[in-house]
Amino acid sequence: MRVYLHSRTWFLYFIMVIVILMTFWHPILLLISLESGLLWWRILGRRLTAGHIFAALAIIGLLTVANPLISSNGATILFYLNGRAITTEALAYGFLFASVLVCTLLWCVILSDVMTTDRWLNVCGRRFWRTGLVLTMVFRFFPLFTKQWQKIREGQEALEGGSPVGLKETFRMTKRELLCMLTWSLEHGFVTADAMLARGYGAARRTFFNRENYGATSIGIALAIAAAFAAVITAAASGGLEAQIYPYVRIHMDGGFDILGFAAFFLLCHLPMISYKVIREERRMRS
Amino acid sequence: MQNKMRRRRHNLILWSLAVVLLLTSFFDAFSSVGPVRRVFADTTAERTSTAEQLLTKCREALSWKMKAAGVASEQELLDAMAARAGRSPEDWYVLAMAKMGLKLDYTKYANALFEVCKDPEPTDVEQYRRYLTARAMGYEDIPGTAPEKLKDKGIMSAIYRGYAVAAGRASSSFVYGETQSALIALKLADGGYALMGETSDVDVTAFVLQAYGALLGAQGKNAAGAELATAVSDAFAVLGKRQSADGGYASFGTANAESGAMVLLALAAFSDKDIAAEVRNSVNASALIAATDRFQTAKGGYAHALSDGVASMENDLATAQVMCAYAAYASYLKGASGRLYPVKAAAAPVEPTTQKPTQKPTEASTEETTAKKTEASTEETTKKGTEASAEETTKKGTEASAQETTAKGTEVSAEETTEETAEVSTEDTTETSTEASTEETRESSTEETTVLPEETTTSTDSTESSFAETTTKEDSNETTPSTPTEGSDIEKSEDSSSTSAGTVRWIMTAVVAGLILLGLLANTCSKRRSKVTYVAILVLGAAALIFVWMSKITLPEHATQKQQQTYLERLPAQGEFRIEICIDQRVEGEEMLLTSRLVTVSEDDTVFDILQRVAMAYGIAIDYTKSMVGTVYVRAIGGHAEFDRGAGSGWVFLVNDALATTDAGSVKLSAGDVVRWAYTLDLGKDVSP
Amino acid sequence: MIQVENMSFTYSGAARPSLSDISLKIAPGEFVLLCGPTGCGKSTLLRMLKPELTPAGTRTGRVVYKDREIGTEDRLPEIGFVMQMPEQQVVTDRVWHELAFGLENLGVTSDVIRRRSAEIAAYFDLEKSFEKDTNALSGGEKQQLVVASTMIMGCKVLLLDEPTSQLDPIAANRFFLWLEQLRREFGITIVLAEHHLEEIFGEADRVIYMDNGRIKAQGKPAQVAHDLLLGGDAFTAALPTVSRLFFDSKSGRDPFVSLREAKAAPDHETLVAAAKAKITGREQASAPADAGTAVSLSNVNFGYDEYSPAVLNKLSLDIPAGACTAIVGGNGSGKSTLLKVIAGVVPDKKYGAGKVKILGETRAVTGKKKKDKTAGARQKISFLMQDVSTLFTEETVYEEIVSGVKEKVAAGGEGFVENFLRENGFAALTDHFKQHPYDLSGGEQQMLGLTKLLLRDPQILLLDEPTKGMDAVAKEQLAALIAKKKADGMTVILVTHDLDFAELCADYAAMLFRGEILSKERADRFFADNVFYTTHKNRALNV
Repeated sequence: MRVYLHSRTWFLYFIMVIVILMTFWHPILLLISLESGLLWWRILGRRLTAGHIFAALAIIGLLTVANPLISSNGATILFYLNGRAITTEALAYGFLFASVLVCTLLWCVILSDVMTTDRWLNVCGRRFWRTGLVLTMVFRFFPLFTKQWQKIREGQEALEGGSPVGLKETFRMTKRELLCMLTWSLEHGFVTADAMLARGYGAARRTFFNRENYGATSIGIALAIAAAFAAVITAAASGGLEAQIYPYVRIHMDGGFDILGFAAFFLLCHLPMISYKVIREERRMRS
Repeated sequence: MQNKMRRRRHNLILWSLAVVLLLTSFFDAFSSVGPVRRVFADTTAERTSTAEQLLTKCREALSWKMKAAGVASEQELLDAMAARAGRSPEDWYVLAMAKMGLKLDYTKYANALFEVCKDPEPTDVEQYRRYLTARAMGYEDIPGTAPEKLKDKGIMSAIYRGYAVAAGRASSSFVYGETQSALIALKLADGGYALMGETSDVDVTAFVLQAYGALLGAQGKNAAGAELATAVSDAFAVLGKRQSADGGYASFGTANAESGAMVLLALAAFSDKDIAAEVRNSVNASALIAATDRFQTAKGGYAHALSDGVASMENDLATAQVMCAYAAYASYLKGASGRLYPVKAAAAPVEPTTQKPTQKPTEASTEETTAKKTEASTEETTKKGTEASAEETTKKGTEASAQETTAKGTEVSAEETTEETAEVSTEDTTETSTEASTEETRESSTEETTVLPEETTTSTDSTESSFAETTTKEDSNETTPSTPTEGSDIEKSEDSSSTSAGTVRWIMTAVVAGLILLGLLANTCSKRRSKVTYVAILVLGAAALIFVWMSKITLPEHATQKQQQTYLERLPAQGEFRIEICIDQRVEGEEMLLTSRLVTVSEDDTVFDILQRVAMAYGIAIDYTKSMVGTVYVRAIGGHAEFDRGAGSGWVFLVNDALATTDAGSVKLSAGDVVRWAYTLDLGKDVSP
Repeated sequence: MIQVENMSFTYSGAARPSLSDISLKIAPGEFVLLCGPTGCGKSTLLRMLKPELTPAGTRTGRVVYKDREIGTEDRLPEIGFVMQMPEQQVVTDRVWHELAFGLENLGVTSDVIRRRSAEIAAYFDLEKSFEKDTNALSGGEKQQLVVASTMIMGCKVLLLDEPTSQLDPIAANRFFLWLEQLRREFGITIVLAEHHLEEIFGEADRVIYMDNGRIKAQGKPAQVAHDLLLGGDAFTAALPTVSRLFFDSKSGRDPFVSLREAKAAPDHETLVAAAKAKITGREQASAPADAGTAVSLSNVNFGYDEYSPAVLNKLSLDIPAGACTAIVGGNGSGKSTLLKVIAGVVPDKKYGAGKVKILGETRAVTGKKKKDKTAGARQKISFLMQDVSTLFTEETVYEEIVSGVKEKVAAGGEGFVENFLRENGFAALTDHFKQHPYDLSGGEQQMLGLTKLLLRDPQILLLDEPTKGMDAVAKEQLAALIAKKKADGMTVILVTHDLDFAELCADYAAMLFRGEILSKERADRFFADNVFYTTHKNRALNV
């Protein structure tokens, strides 16, 4: 199969972005990732609803408020709550933490959208075929499992003539369902194992059916991603991209290294979008 | 279809609920802004009218003064008085004008006051007075004013220290406690106070009460403790007993306007929240006002005393003090602060347990105070009172005491008088101080007396009146420099002390309400919305609101670490306190969080208790974990946390330069120990000397 | 191609041998049909032929594949093996990967896999679903995928162990047709173990009839059918309808094994007349008495979400009490949903409207029904769902039977369960009390499920595809049971694709089409009137 961007390039891309996002808690990097994340969100045909925004704000608000309650670290005391110092820094830390969390969540959603099961397999490749196989079986098993559970629940209700009444009975019912699921899973496992054996599993050294080729674009973009990542790391190592929270909040914004870091990260976030073919491929996959 | 309709209705209910919630919280937030609510609650028509009457009398007195000075407007009067800024009646006038709420330009007077401040060797009282004046004028701090510790030993300096501490001079809550206990220690057997001897004096008692009022306002009722409350009610009881049949007060046998004015100021210094009504009612305020009114002359001014039952000759000081008293009392009646000096809220509530050490062992604390005083006084007493007090005392002598010389008895011996004059400048020998210190005091006082022989003689004319006068004089000197803004400033700081915590509470409420709303909205917009989630959010939100409203909120004294830092640097670093604690920041580019500080401790205090108290007092945040069995691990101090600078970094403490082997919660201290908290980079190896 | 010589096999721990003294030869390209009652050893025999899947136990005799004896350690990808469960046999989550799975196991390079999978996809018409999730396939498609992904490995022999037992008759038919085509075009050897013989019996080159682990008869289909019919074995019920219908032991002629043969017979019309005369008497007797309405649905609309079309569409239906009503219809016509709506087990938040009236009690369509907790209240409805194994939560069959009805069993005293089973014709279960429910055969599992239901003494019994995985003998037992319960006044609602079974036990039949009831009549008339959608018997009798 001809693919425009190799799965491993995609994988590299997401790992680099998320690693930077989670390593440098820097407001501007967060903003950049948010912007590109929302761009992907659109490209992948997702809709940004008010619910998403409210949920994100709720998470941020909650964590911002919650952090000072568990941490008194920080130099600037706003006030004392029950004798515990509520500091500006703790608030800022909570806010930043929540923002990082929300951005990471956003990127994880994009990752799970883009990284289809096929792509995961290709990432695992020949070297890690066992992981790949387990992955694909897990991907298959989970929907089956939930479906079966639903069926068991319906079956039990049908048998008993209605859903259980009261907490105790519900608990007992759930326990029975779980046992049932366990037996079913085992049974399922046996049959699947037989089916695998029947199809020659273990007969020879297993190969990996690689459906993707490394094209020039894949390699080029992968190199660019690596370069951008290296640039961000260099900028950080040279004293840029520093956002200090404790003992007091200070965002150092002096010198070219910050600019280099921001530019590199911006480039990194937008790299696969550079080519319209990539976007078209993703859209076609989802249509 | 039916389902959809039902869901929409369901949403509508939740929306309206949220809106109602938000509206109520906003309304409450607005109505809670201190003065508004208090005025609504307290002001009755009667109180307002009395207040207006008092203010009218103030204006009458002011117009007498303007006429006497030959000026046309208040502003002109003020500017004219600037020539004598920082001196007796003038400062009282300025305070009164400020308290009356006159909108004037005080710059000239203030500048003149600052000139006076350049006095190289001021007395404690002078320093405090200048500081207070500066505070009243809206200046936070003036270099060279306000000593941290007393060098003089007199009840007056203790009183002024009280004012100053309450006005924001406190470096920590310990200072409050210390100041307070020093004053309480001076209490006589009957509950009153005196410059000397065992007979309580109305003026001094009223002064002390004003200081108590200020301290109470600054710390809050709970933090101030029961001891103070007892002292206050005792003092009021004394004043009640000493009130004459006509409602007025007499000092050294003579009914005079100033004593009455002082008592009125004492009454005004407490808000209705601060003391119980019975305590306040031990003095009949309306009778007192009526009695004081009788000192008013036809021209509007006030006389010092009545001659043949008629007020004939106006007295500058009496007029100024009565004005102050009336303006302050009017302010109190209106529901605002009746305190003459600004009051600033305490930094941290010192919990009862931690507060004890400073107050409980009365002996210890008094010892300390005296010790401090002696120390300081040896250095500075000599400088004091040469120029300023010379002038003042002569003034006093001429103005006030001249009239009453005859009335005053010859009972008082010359010796005593010398002592008294000494006390005027600072000292107080009534303390339970050690002999050594008394000796010192005497020495210093004799020094002074020798410096100012003239003064001594003039003021000794009549001991009784001079008591009243000298004290008032002093007061006036110390307090007068306050500038026009004072009146409003007092209210502001007063309000901020009581409301800002409330404001914080309301901000928190608003935040929680916002979060609830966000949660509800998020659930409403979500595909997987469920009633359970709605209920859960509402229940959790309610719990959070209850938490917010059950919580104790206090504001730190100093807004920023930087201010704290600069302030701390000026504190003296040595003395005879028991324990020295030093939070040391041994990291490149970072300043010390806290230089060597002296703290009083009780026997049960652990190193951690001390750290906690010091951190509270100095506005340093500490992050720690306390286990069930009481062991404590300190994770962060002042924003510097463990592992911030490598795996071996964190906080350790040293007792007498020995690295502690156990946790801070289990190390007890004894007198003279030196504790140092240090940020180590290498598991403590780098901090041991 | 495959030769089995004097083979016996005993499962480890089992007392009796499962296979004894089996000898057979299978020629290349031959289509061998293994049949026999449940537990006769046909599955075991198939597993003997596939060394990877040979179960643990003691084996004597030998198996020779292409002149080479095969032991249990051998790996023979040339022999393909397809089992019952379509769901469990699919290993991976994508169709293309499923196809590639076998080849990957064999260590074939990517290029070869790419070409092979393209070939297979093109041949089996899998191009459209190539990228699809395997979970999105239907059961029949899954079985086809399994066969395709076995075929891709270049297999020469295909062993199929009841591959259609979990499929509905229509999908099963399609699967067999497809298998037939495969055999014709590639000439592969097929050994098929099956108990649903209606369509496939006549197609086989050779039929092997097994019973109790022994080969009882083998030969051409007609020959075996003749032997069986003459012997009067219970298993004859499994033979194709035409064989049974037109068999006349006196004529000396081999029975027909397919409708085609029967129709081609010169004396077809006489045979039909004779057959009709034989059965009319029996049918006349079963005119149900009117006993009121048990379940009444009025204007029921139901859909699983807001956007997709409704599964049930303004459906109104009255189900008479004390009778058996069969609801038939194609895949996706909403039959199972209809039963779920009646039973009140549809998940909450579904979109529906209308009323369901059960024994005089009315309730809305949506929302789950709560269990009736009133003491001694007789359970109104019991519902046996398609996948009966979802009911099993216990470790042994006995525990499974008594779970939930312990009080009743205790009250019944010693031997209550055994008696109950005997009364209902489930005596076979008594032998398996100590076994795990999952170790039962498909028919026995259905029996167990039904026992559980009947112990709850319902007034209305809902059965969703009860004959799935049942052999002919079990089907007849089930039909007898339904007749008995009907006589006791129980209302039975039956949803099935198995029209023969429906005709056998239903009084009324209703046809569901695209969420609507099209016709509801007396069952005999219903099937007689239908031309295409009707029983094998009616097709045979239609001249």
